[in-house]
Amino acid sequence: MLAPDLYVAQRFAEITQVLAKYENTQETLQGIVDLGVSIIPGAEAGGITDLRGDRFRSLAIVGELPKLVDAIQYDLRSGPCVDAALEDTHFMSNDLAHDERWPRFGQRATTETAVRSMLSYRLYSEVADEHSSALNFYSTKLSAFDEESRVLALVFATHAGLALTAARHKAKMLNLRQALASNRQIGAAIGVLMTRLLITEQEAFDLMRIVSQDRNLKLTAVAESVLQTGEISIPGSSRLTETSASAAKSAARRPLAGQH
Amino acid sequence: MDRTNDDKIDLFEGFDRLGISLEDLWLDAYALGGDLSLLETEAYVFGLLRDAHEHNVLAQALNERFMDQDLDHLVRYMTLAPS
Repeated sequence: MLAPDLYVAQRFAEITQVLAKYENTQETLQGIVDLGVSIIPGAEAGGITDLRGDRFRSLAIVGELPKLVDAIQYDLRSGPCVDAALEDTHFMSNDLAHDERWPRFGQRATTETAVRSMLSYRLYSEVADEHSSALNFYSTKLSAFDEESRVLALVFATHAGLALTAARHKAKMLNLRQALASNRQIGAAIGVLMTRLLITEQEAFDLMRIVSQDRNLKLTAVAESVLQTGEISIPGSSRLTETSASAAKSAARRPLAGQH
Repeated sequence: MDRTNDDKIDLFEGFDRLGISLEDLWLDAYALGGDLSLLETEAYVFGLLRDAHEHNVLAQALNERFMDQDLDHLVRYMTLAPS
């Protein structure tokens, strides 16, 4: 048996190795919960609560309990997950039915579900983007969590927060790169339409978004078509080329359903 | 089914229904060729700025999110002023 410090250090190293391998934010979130449930003593199920603005939702779960228990917490806006997402601390309850901190939640949760104990930590992420999150563990047993659970979960939540920060940085970079590519493509398509139809940048954009609306296509798909063909066809008109500049101008200003 | 003016929603309602962040919307609009700042994006969402083109870029950004949820273009566009 390892000394407690060594044991925690060993788990610390394992956590880092496992959490570093995930490719995107959702995989990382799910990986955090999967690993957490497997290593935190007493945990039978787990989940991550996300708070954005005033809306709570569960981002990743293991087991059936989190879905049921979280729905009650979000409904009452009270409970360990809610408080951990809002406050800079952690919450452990080994007897939810009699926990004075969340009397209504405790009563409903233990009546409507099999949950009896919970452990919740604030999950820190540098790239929070208006989110705050909590990492939660659930058990159907009374007094499921002990000091070892509490300490390991603290170490785990700290590492999980770092892993989540890294994943969100990566996702943000990828999103920016994709946005830049899309911005260039749409800009180029606008340039083509401006030159061929002798219309303004705003009119060219509006033509493309009218086609997007009419055909239920993303603007990038419309732009791609313009770049491939040098043409655009809009509802109620024949295919527009450089010979129909005035039609394009009027189309861009024609109020469609849904305009004001 | 074509939507009429009456059942379309404004920028704020679309933004609120989607539950996305302003930064998400700003990036989506940038991807569509928009060049608003984050602060200007917020001003359009709250109806403080109303240039038709910039409004339509933001409306398109929101509508593309609704398309991902298999919903038609819910957010209202504005008609461009004559040039």
